[in-house]
Amino acid sequence: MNKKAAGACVVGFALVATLSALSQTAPQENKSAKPAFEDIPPVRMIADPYPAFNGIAVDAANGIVAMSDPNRKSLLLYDRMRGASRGEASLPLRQIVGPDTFLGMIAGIILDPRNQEIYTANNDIEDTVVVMPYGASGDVKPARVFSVPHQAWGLALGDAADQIAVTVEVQNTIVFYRREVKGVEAPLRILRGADTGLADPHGIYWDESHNEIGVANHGNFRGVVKNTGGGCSPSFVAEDEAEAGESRPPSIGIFAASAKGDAKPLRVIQGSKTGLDWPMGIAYDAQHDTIVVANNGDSSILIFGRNGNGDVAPLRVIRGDRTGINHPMGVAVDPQQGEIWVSNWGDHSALAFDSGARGNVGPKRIIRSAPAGTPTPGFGNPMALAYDSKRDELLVPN
Amino acid sequence: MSVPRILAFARLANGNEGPVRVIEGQGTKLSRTMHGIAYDSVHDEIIVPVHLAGAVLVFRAGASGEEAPIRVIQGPHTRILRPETVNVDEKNNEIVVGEDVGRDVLFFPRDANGDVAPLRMIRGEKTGLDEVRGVAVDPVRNLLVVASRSGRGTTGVFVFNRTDNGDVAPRALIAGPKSGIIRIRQVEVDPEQGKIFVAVKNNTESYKFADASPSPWNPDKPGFVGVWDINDNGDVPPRGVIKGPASEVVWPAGVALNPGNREVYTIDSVSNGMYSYYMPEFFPAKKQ
Repeated sequence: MNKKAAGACVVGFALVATLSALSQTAPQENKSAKPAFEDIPPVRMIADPYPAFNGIAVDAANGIVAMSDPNRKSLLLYDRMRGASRGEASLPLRQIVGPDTFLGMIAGIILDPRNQEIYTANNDIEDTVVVMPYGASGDVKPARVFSVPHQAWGLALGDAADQIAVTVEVQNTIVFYRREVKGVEAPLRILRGADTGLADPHGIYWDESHNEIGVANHGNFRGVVKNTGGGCSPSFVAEDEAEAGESRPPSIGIFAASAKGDAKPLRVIQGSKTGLDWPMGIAYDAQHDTIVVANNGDSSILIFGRNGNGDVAPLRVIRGDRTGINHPMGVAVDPQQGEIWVSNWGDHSALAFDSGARGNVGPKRIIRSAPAGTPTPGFGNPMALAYDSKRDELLVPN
Repeated sequence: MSVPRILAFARLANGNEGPVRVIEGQGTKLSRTMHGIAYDSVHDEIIVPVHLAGAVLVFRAGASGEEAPIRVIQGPHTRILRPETVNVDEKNNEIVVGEDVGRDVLFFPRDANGDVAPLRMIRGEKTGLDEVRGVAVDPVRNLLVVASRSGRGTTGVFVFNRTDNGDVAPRALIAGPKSGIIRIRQVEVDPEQGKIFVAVKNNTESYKFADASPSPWNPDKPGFVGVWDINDNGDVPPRGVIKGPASEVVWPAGVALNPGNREVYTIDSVSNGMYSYYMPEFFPAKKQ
């Protein structure tokens, strides 16, 4: 058995053991079970055996909706017209999962109906975008993999330009590659600089009809002049006068689709009236000429006019207990059905709303990766923890 | 890499359980890449680094929802570049910050707020520090323990005098093939026992554009939680280990201690799981 296969077996064993343990009665605290000194079973564990949805994309022409799952490291494709009406877990058409897939801590996902390909960004550790054919299922190798900077999050495809745009959190950057990029390839152009206003960018859309791209910014900013990377690997010698950090307000920046360098945005939606609160995924709705935002911080969907600029309120908001929106990460628009799709990080579900919905309205359909009511630990590549002795709690930052 | 939030779980939670409370939302000023966290039991506060905004945040320990931090250390005078990890020295009333890009350790007054200069800074060639992943203080022996990962230098556990300042060499370094340390993350110290607990992640990773990228499914050297004596130095094997398929540990990234219940906790970035181990071997009963 080679190293790769052995390693895969170790991971596979751990994941299977976790799933097996969680699928049975939760193990009781047993302080005597110790088969070996080193190889000691935990007395307790917290893990989620179900897929957790991050990004979402819809292909109306082929009738599918697809989600990225960084929890179990998989892609799931569902029939976009079939909901889970009784709270049961939905059966995916296909799940792509396993050591050969190269799928890891994935975030954004897009579908390319014309070429029948699925793109997803390995946000952490692997620093790649994985491209799978539509028909992929199980533990299969990708059609292509290409390297991207560390902390790639959002993806957008420009059909006319035949380019793919990738947001990079830590570098406050959007990088553009030719669509058929493979392996290690230099980007065609980079949008980066103080004038861009990019600050911890997440979701991105490409509006072909107006030749614009829109990007959601969290606002975390540590400078661009000497920030050539970092995150997990220093790429410059730190100097005392390096830029200081800032926590800026969140924003939506709209750029010319051909923008590059330190280009200024055409418009910026930012300010207290916007209600932006950790904007994650973002999409353009051509039917209503609006920008749809997954507003993770307050579990809502914000809908802005495409030409909105400055401190403007959203035209519509979908929010409330009837909506089922629970810490949304992704949004996608189905122009054929006139629907907005929302992927929830908070509760193993994806929701389809009428694209004209507003207020506290229920979704038209729900797709679930776990039975309704299943708890969600919410881990995503966690790296640290602490014990709170006063509350007898364990604290985990993501 | 998911939603940048702080999750609080009941210690006895078991199975697929959700958090009892969450600190989240724009008003918290949290970002992703919070690779450290500390609980200050004296002042009942939580401290976290905010890598993407070059800040250290302090919250009420009971904070929940979109609650703002009670203090923010951020600005040009702080010398903070990319804070990777934090800890708190309750005895000496200091916050300790470790940085990857800065390749340094910064010390602030515990109650520092705003654009304040650090009290001390360990940085420079003599330190041997590169990407600092974990920091912990032994207030009994007045020592600082630093986990540092390097692709060009030494990856290991560096021990300094707690009050060291500037470009100083470590007084001890635990590293080498016998130590088993390849990649390293969070560290904690049990000052009563004089033990160092280390999350030895040993993951394969690549952040260089031109490198072939690894798959998360193929770690060729699974990690472990290792325990060393605070006086260990050199290429020393751990004195205690949590490791192996039954442990569920693949790439342990964090470690926390609960001596009162004789438990060790770790969190794994491959399985997205948190694991609790009852370890009386590591926390001997006190003599009556």
